[in-house]
Amino acid sequence: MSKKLSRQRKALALKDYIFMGLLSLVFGLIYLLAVYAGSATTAVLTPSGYGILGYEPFYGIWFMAALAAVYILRRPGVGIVAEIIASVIEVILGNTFGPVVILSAFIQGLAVELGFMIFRYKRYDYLSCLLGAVFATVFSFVWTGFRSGYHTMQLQIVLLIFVIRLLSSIFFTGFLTKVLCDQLAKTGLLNSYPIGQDKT
Amino acid sequence: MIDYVNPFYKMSGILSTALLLAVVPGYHVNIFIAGIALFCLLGSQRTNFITAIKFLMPALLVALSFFFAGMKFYSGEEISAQTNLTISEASVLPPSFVNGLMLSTRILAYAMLGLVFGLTTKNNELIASAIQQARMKPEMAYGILAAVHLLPTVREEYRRSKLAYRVRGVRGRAFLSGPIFCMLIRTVRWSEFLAMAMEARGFSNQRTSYLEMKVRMSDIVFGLGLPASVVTLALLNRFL
Repeated sequence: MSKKLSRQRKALALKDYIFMGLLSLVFGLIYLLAVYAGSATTAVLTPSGYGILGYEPFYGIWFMAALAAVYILRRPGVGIVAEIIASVIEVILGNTFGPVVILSAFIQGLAVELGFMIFRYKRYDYLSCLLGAVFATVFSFVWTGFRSGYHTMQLQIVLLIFVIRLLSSIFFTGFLTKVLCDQLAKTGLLNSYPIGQDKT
Repeated sequence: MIDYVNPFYKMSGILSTALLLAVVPGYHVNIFIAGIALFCLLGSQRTNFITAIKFLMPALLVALSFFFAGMKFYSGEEISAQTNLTISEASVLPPSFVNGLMLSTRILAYAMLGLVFGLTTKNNELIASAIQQARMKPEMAYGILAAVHLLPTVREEYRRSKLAYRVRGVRGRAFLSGPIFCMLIRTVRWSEFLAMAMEARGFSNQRTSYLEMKVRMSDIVFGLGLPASVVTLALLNRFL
């Protein structure tokens, strides 16, 4: 059995869960900084009716933890687990929307996983990362559209939401997360993780 | 009373209610659910009105943005058929206004439900209930608790990293390549040390829990009753 296949079948250990928890916390910190910017943008745009777009430029940050977890740990399911851990942490820290966030996290984690699942978890490059980002945009868009009643709004604003979210996701999730993880791997710090083992 | 509902059943009830609100048209049910949530918050001994308002502020902003967007970008469908307004109501309220009201009150109801969960549930009870009732892996729960308890340390380290950059006169550097990258490096190290320490103390094995979360009839009533109230009200709204 190949090294990659045996790794994929191995159950996650405590070390992996703690790593995902702390990873989610750091990305949560980035998200918190983005929330301040998003709130300010929303406040400015609300009277014009475009306030709904306020958080969209930062939406990609939400998917970063899932992609980083899959990219570093390289195992099926870690994207979903990482997103769920991140969402439970958010709920514990007082996210206003409570349990709904956990369901959103499951959907987003699954979407990010799909980008790698398509290649049977054998490709960890820009293509799989960008695919994960695109799937995350589509899935989250359908989910938020269902929750927030996008069908009652004009097509132009709905398309605008999608395009901004897609660009944000491609930049933050597909591009920046990969660059950050590659830089981390270069330091040698991740040598005990699958990303480090694959590089050597 | 809400304080003592089993967290898993509280979460199930709130989640299914939120899902139902997404498919129930009109703003009446949203306002009703937000009212029930407010009633729960006022009856809780674990929070107070001021704290709830403080947490509600960001959601109020989002709700307001949805109100204006729903009004400005209303797609023009026949709203009276969707929201079951009476003829007199339909003639008084412009459809775009009703659409804005429906979307914003839905956001408000989600936020109020979320607050009921967040402010009336203790962290250790939530985690214990997740392990015992939702069958969450204990290792995953420890990962979550480790992250939550390390939050103040992570914040402090981030502040120090920023300060270190400033002391060295490094200004205008992209924050992702500077302090955040340092944070990621420290996080990887912490996670390895913490995992080693926890494994040495037997945290990777099945352990008994001092906190036993029991399921009572009142938990099941809450878990089923809250979504059932949405369905009942939606049916009443439709047929009366």
